Amino acid sequence: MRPRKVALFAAAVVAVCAGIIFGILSRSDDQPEIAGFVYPEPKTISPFKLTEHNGSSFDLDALKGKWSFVYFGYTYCPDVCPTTLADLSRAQKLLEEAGWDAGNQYFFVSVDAQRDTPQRLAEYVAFFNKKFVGATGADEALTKFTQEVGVLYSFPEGRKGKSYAVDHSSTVALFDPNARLAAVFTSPHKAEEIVEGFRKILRRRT
Amino acid sequence: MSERNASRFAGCLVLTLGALIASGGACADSIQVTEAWSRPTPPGIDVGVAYFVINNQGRNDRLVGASSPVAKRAELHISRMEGGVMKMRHLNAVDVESGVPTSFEPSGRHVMLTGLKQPLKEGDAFPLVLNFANAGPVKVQVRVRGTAGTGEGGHGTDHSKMKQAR
Repeated sequence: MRPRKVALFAAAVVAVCAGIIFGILSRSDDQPEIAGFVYPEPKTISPFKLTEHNGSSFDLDALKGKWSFVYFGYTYCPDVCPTTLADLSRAQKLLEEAGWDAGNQYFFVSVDAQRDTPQRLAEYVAFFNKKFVGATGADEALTKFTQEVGVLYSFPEGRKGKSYAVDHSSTVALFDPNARLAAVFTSPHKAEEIVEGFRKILRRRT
Repeated sequence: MSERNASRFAGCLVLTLGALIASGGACADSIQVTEAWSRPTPPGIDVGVAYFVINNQGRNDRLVGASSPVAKRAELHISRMEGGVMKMRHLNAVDVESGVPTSFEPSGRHVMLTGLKQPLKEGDAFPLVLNFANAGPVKVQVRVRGTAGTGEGGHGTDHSKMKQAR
C-alpha cells in the first residue's frame, strides 16, 4: 500500500508541475493578458449551495447561461469592499455602454454570514448597483466554494459583537456561461481594466 | 527688582511670547490636509471611511489619532495585501515626514469611522480632526462624494482626471 501511495503522490506532483509549466508556456502564447489571471482551460467547480439575498439558491445552475462576475467580501468592510464594488459597478456601466452587459450577472458573496443577513445584503448591493445580487451561506459551504475559486478568508479569534474585521482575498472571479471559472481579476481593481480583460476573454472565445 | 533686571525680564518675556506665537503659527501652517473625501454609506451600514493627503512643510511629525463628531470612533487603519489576502489593521500612529505627501487612499491607509450617527450622503461634508504629535489638532472638512454607481470618477470629482484633461 505504501509504495503505491508514494507513487500516486509523485504522479500528482508531476501532474501539478506539468500543469503549471503548461500554463506558463501557453500563457505566453495565446493567453489574454488581464489585470489578474486567465485559466488556460476554464476550471470546473464542484457543486455548491449558497443563498441569494432574495432567497433563491446560489449554485452552479445560477451561474449557468451567463457570464458571472463574483466578488467576495463583507458589508462591514469600510475601505476595500466599497472601493471594489464601486469599481465593479462602473465596469458594469461601461460594459452596458459597450453592449457587452446583457449576458452578464454580478454577485457579491459575503463571507460573513453571521452579520450579513439576506435583508442587509439586499440593501447593500442595491446601493451600489441594481444589477448586483448578494449571496452568502453557512461557513462550511462558503469555505468549500471559496477554496475552489482560490479565495481565502479568515476571522479574528473569538469574533464577537459587531466590530471585527475579516481578512479576505479581494478578487473578482469571472465564471463563463458553463459555470466554469474562467479568470480572476486581482486587487487593486480598475473598472477599465476589468472591461478590457473581459473584452479580451470574450474575443478569445469567438 | 532693579530697573535693569525688570527690562531684561520684559525683554525675555517678549522673546518667549514671540517664539511661542511664531512656533504656533508655523505649526498651524506646516500641516496642510487636502483632498479630504469620503464615500456615501449604504443603508444600515454604520461604518465609513475618510481619505486625504497630508502635506507637512514643517518638521517631521506623527499623526497619532483622529476624531469626528459624526462617528463614535475614528481610527487609523491600513488595508494591506498579504499573501493574496487583504488585511485591515489598526495603526497606532503614522509618520508624516517633512516635504513628503502622506496619502490616505482607497485600499491603503484610511481613517475608519465606526458608529456613524447618521448615514453619509453624497454632497454632505463633515468635520474630521486629525491629531498630530507636534502640530496638535488639525481640523478638516471631509466631502462625501462619488455615488456608488459612478465610483470615484463620478460627477467630475476625480482630480487626477481633471488634471489630465487640462
